[in-house]
Parts: sequence; C-alpha cells; structure tokens
Amino acid sequence: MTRMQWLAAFIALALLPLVSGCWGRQEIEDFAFVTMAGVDLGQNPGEVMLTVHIAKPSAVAGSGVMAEERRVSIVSATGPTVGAASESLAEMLPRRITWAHSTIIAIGEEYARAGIAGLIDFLARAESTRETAVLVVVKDGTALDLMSAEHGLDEIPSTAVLGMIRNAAYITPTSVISTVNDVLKLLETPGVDVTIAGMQVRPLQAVTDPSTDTPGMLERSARSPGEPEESAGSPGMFEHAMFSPGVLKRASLSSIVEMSGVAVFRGDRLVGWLNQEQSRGFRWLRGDVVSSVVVLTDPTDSLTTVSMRAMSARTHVNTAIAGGRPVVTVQAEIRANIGDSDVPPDSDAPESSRSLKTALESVIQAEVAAMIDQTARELQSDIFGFGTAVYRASPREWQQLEGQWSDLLRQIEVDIDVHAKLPQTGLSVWGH
Amino acid sequence: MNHVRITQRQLISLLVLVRMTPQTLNCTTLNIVRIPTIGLIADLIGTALAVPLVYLVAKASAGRPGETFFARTRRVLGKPVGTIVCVWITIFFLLIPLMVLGSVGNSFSTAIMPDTPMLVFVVVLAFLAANAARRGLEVVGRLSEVLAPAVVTALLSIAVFSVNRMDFGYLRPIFLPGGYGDLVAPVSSVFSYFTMFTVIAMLLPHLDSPRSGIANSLAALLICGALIVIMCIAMISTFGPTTNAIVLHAFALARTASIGTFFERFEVLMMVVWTTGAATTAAVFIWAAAEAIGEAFSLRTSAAIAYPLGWIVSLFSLTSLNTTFRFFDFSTGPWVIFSAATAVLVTGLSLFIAIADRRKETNPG
Repeated sequence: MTRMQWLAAFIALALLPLVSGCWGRQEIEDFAFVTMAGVDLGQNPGEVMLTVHIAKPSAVAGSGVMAEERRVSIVSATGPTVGAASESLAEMLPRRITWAHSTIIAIGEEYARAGIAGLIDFLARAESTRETAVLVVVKDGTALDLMSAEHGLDEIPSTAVLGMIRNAAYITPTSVISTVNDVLKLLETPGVDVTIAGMQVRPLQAVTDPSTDTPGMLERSARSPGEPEESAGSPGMFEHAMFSPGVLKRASLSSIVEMSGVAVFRGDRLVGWLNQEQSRGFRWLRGDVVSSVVVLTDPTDSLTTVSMRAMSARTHVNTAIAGGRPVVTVQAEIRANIGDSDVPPDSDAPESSRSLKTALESVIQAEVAAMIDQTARELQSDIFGFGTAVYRASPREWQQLEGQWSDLLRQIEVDIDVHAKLPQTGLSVWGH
Repeated sequence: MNHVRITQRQLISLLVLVRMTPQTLNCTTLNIVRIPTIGLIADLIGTALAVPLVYLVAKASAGRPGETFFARTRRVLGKPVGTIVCVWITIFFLLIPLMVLGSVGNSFSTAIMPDTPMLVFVVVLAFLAANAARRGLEVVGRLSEVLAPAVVTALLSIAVFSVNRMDFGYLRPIFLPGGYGDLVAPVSSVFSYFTMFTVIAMLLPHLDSPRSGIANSLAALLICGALIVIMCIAMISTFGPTTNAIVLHAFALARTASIGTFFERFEVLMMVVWTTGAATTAAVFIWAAAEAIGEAFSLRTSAAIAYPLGWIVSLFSLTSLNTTFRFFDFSTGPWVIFSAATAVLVTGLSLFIAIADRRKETNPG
C-alpha cells in the first residue's frame, strides 16, 4: 500500500464512530404522545394549569372488548404561562412530550374569559404542535372536567371529542370546527371575531370517588397496600404538578359529555355563548350547511309536526355602511327535503308545499336574526365578519370605522331574505 | 475552459432549483409587507422586472459559446479590470450558497431536529455541494435534472393539498396603505432573488445548443414566477393576515396540508426539498465561483478549488448566522443593493462586450 492509501484507510477508520447513528436521534419509545390538551386558570392568580392526555401505547395497542385500562394517562402541571406549564410536565414524566398528535385543545370557560392569546401563541410557536388541532371551550366547567370524563363508545377521549365536534358541525349543524390556524387568522383579521365549539360535562351521578370533590374522577385502583385513601385527590393536587387520581382504570360512566353551542369571543376573550338554534343561525349565515333537520309545525294543521332536512344552503351577504351604521343584506337559498311527518303532507299540493316553504323560511330567518341579536347587539361581537366585508370592500373607510365598530354593531340593520326550495320528498312518496 | 456540456432541460432544472430553494426557506418578502397581498403584487412585478435582466444576460452570453463571462471580460477589458470584476462576482456567487446553507441549517435546527447542531447540516450539505462542483457542471446538471421535477411536484402538492384550509377572501383587499412606496422594499426583495439568474452568464457557454439559451432561461424564469405566485396565493389564503408573522412559510404550509383526514405530515417533503435544493444551489454557485477564480488567476484547472470554497462557505455560514447573518438575507438593504449592483454590472458588461465583439467582427482592422 502506498502512503496515500494508508492515510485514506486511517481517515476512513477514524470517521467510523461518526456513522454509528443520527446525531439528534429520537426513538419512539422515548416520547410521550399528547393526544389532547386542556388549559385552565390555576388556583393562584396569574397561573395557568395545563392538563394533557398522554397515550399509553400498550393500552392503545390492546384489542378486543373495551379494555379496563385507560388508554391515556392524565397529567397536569401549572406555570405562569402555557409554555412554562408544559415544561413542568416534563418533571412528571419519564418520557419527552411531543404535541404532534394532539388533535384537541380544550379550554376551560374561566381561562377563555381571561383571554386565549397566550395559548394560541404557544401553539403557533412550538415546533411540535400542529395548527390543525381543533379547539373546544368547556361551558360552565374546566378543561380538566372534559379530560377526566369517560366516553361510552370511544375509549380514546380525543377521538370521541373530535367525532362529536365533527358531527355537530356537519350533521346538526349546531357547532363549528375551529383549528388553531383558524383562530390565529381570525385574531389577526380586522373586523371579525372568533368562534369556538362549546362542550359541556354534566354529572350523571354523584362523585364516584369519595376522596375527591372533582366530578368525573375515577376510582384509583393502583393504590399501594396500606396507603391512606385520603392521599388520592388531596387538596394539594393543584400544586406545581400532579397526576389526576384514578387514571389507571376505567370505571363506571359518571358524567356525560355533550355539545353546547358555540363560544363567542371578542378579541381573544370569551364574552358569551350561542345556543344551538343561534349556532345554526350562524351556520345558515355562513352558507356552509350541508345537512340539518328543521322541525316545523305544519301551518295548515297546528297538531302536525314536519321535519325538513336541509340539504344545502347558499348565502350571499352584502355589508354596506349607510347613514353611519352597518346595513347587512342576507340572501339565502336553502334546498330541503321532507324528512318525516306525523301526517305526511301532500307535497304535490301547491298550497301545502308553499306553506311548508314559508314555514321553513320563517324558522331560518328567525334563527339568523336571533344569532345577530345575540352576537352583534348583546355581545358586540362580529363573528360573521361584517367588518371584514367592509374592510375588504373599502379598506380606507374601514380605517375610520375600526375604532367604533363594536358600538356600530349595536345599531346594525339586517335584512334577511330566505328562499327555500323543496325539490324532493326523500325515499317515500307516502301521503300523496 | 473545459468543454463540458449541459442539456437544455438540465439548464432549466438548474435555474428552477436555484431560484426556488430560497423561496422554500425564509420567504422574507412576505415578512416585510404590511398587507400580505402586497407580497403577491411584488412577486408579479419582481418577476416581470427580472425578464429584461435575464434576456439581456442570456442574449449576451449565448452569442459566445465556449467562452465564459469572465474570460470575455478579461479579454475585452484587460486583465486588471477583468480580475476586479471576477473577484466582485465571485464574492456574489459565494454569498448565495452561504445564505442558502445557513438558512437550511437553521431551518432544520428550528423546525425539525432541534437537538442536532446546525453544524451537521451545513457541513454535510457543503461537502455534498463541493463534491458535486468538483466533479463538474455535467454532474450538477444531471443531478438537478432528476431533482427539479421532484421539487416542483412537492411544492405543487403542498399547495394543492392545503386547499381545504384556504380562504381566498384573504387575497383582498388589494391596496397600498402607504401608497406606491409600499411596493419598493418587497419588489426589490423579489428582484434580488432573481439576480441569482446572473449565473446564466457562466452556464450558457456550456449549453449544448447555446442559441437556445435565451428561450430556456426565460422559460425557467417563467416557471419560477408561476410557482412563486401559486405558493404565494396558497400561503396568503391559508394564513391570512398572519402570513407576515410566519417564518418558514412553505414549511408552515406543508404542516397544514392533508389528504382528507388520513394523510398528513407533508413537511417531510420540505426536508427533501431543502436538502436537495440547497445542495444543488450551493453546487452551482461553488462551481461558478471556482470557474471565476480560475479565470481571475489564470489557473490551469479550477475544479480543485471547489473543496476549499465549500469549507469557506460552511465556515462563514456557521459563524455569521447569529451575528451578521441579517446582512446576508435576501430582503435586507445591503444585500438588495449589492445584488442589484451585481445584476447591473453583469448585464452592462455583457452588453458592452457583445457590442465590442460585434464591432470587432464587422471592423477587423
């Protein structure tokens, strides 16, 4: 071998240790996968409590009947900011937290009323979070309530919650799907406010664990022999960081989780709620309804109830400023089928069809009007984005109006024109 | 000059990769505008302004097959002036891989692998680029011919599969709150990216059919312009008013892309785009800088300089990132002025040389 060949061989050998693996390798078993996260105000002023569901791979991989073991571990930590609380979680876990699979971010009502800007900023900045995660506000409760609740059909809570939000958004449609990116955009867009799906946790029975006052907490099953019962759920549980008690085993269903309209924000603060009819009014206005059942009383027979299934809605909204106040013209076109009826109406009879259409138009009109009343006049929140329409049409005019927009909203004048079409009777012509 | 040849498709691929790579990193034009749509307008105007630049440089370079821009400069202007021009443009050529490698290293460390030092990405990519440059333009051309379609497909996929997150209403309003002055900085920024096309002065003499260089260069420019506009529309529609607050726009867009609700994680494509794009871009400019140094100092062979240039580039990428890196950014004033001056210099000299040559040909005495 020549001297150069010896040198090359030496360099190759010297470089061998460098090719033994990646520098920043990250093994899957080193990760704690957050599937759902919740944010509440902490007990002390200025403190944030972050609760996360960590997937338990061994439990998730289990098959067969509903397993006794919970699929997720619930861990909470507090800190002055969401980011600091997230760091504190690391002290509780043997694995490194990754947010990449977090599909649901729950927000307690009190935290939402205090402002969600800090949470959204954390989610937008962190490298492992995803801006496609869906947000939900827990009405009259905390995110911890929602995250502690069991779901009858689905063992992974985030999957259950996401399914419920999707159903409520697409089928009912009495809710909205707001991702982190959506909220981030709305917070920065002039003339529009944020809406987030609302959920509520209602106890079905008394608290199962006598040692804690927190509804929905499940019995702690891995207590060490001789360990006093009081240790679970002791008053110190909200201190720096904690595991919620009873996370190891599923127990009887103690609460029910249900959709609860839409949370309405002004800026980054929760200011009120839309009930389900108003929420649907909001969806009519947005023109993104793909399915909805509207129950009517047959105008020709007050004892007969008819349900109409709306198949599509197209809306054209025109916003203008007239006489110094916003004037909104809504033109909506709804296509609906007859869903079911106590006494099937004769859809071929022109007067019957006309009266059903009129009744349907009246209901939709009322829902839209109720929504605008609640948001614009009561809450002074512009969730539809009438202000954005003004901004996009005449940005210079908007610059003058922006400062007084929430006051102008109180004086909003709305003209709603709904036109319904009843093209089909479903799969049955019974009643002809 | 060694007579290596690249095909027309390789030339287009090279230019598309060179231009699109920084666009997939820090899309700084969108960060310096008050209203995102101004960035879109600036993209259109900047691309249009680049057309005469590319046309003139290509026209002047395509007329002298086998002789690079530097060789012509030294022949016409004399050795001292020609050498100064060579040094100037060599610095310009070296700053581009410096910025691109630094940005890729920083992007990897920020967005994907925070535990891995930037050094790893920069050194590995610089070595890869220098190695390709050392082996000559043909190797870089073949590499880009394979990679460019993949990169274009990846970028279009990301834009298309983000469509369910888009709200095209965010493309309005189109107005300039501060008047036409709002356009100066973003248009300059877009144009400064396109000054990278001055590298065609080095590439066209190696084209297998030099006369087609003008059409191919303009085709590459228009492909880049169309891609940039598509990406810009996708970004503004997806991120709305937050567009100017985002770093790594294309990466952020990739994170929102999905096929239905079952196929996500398109950001993996961005890792491919960054790695291949940065390596190819750095290889092209390291090769061009080596050629220029070879001409300036009348070296018999310039290929061997590629490795030292690769190390210099990686060293400066690493050391200048946190200190003077802002200077080496496509949107900052000093870079815009320097790149614009270089573009004017290359264009002016190319035209001057072409006219001088034509006079000499018509008037041999």
